Amino acid sequence: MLTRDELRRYDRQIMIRGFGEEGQEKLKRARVFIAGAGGLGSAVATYLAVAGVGIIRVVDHDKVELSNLNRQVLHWDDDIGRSKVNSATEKLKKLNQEVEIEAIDEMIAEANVSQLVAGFDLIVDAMDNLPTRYLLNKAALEMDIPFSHGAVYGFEGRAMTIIPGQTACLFCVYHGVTPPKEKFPVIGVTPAVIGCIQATEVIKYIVGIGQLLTNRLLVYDGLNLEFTEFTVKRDQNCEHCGHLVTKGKK
Amino acid sequence: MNAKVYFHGYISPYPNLVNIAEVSGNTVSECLDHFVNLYPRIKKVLFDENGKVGEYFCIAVNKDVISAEELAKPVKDGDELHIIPMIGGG
Repeated sequence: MLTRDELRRYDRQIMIRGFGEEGQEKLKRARVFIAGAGGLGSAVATYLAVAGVGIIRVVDHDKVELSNLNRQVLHWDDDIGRSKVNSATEKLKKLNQEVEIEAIDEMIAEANVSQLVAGFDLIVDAMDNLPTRYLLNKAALEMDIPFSHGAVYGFEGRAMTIIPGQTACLFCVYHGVTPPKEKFPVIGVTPAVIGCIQATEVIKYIVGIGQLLTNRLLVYDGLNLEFTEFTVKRDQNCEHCGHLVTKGKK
Repeated sequence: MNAKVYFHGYISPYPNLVNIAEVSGNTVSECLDHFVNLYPRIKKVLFDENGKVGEYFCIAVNKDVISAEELAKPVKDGDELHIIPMIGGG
């Protein structure tokens, strides 16, 4: 049941056809896991918080650095040296105090990933490296939790949504890791674009409206301002999802 | 057969974000070989030490992503091939 303040706060989105108070209540009951409080994580967490997602767990083990501030908009000058999850939580609570933010200052690893994501309705990949993305992809599939993949580099972005047992997973598309680099180039608008696409997918999934970005890899080219979509299909021999019984089409 | 190849992404050693070339070949593999002849510096990036397409690339034919096994697939005149590297930043 929504309170009077919630009805007013979310009035404009409740007005959206197919959304309604029922959709808002679904958001209020939802639990979303965000892996990373960097560029993508800042955008996703901001828009999920203002949309009224009930519980948002943000996991990151980094501290805020000056070089983060061109894109990680939840962190400000005064936050340099602070834990990213604490810095993010403070801003998100100010944006919407109705939302519960769980800040976990841990590195996501094989040993803790299942425990961290257990009980969540959806996992958002806002990581800054490929090995952890594969780890999250695998955990999402094993625990039957939908997974939103996003990645950025310079003016480029990728996004894809994965419904375990129904749609292609990240490992159906890519297998290896790119040559390691200490740091990657990026401008703040790129994670903002991709993070907002991921937040859109989360909201649509929870509310149950629209067509998800499943079995489609979205490639964003900010320099030419082009979005290109590629059709992907489940690989029956996929190491991550090949063993899952197909549940039906999405 | 004549096809058009698009190489997307930062990983290109060339300055353009998307490198495009008209190529000819009977299969996807042959078209990729022709493409790297035109863009020789991409060869080292696209293929691994065994001469296979690197695992962090996906290849699409007319916007449908294909598997590594399908690289032997024949191409038709006018097909568009896309080479898409994975990216990892966040």
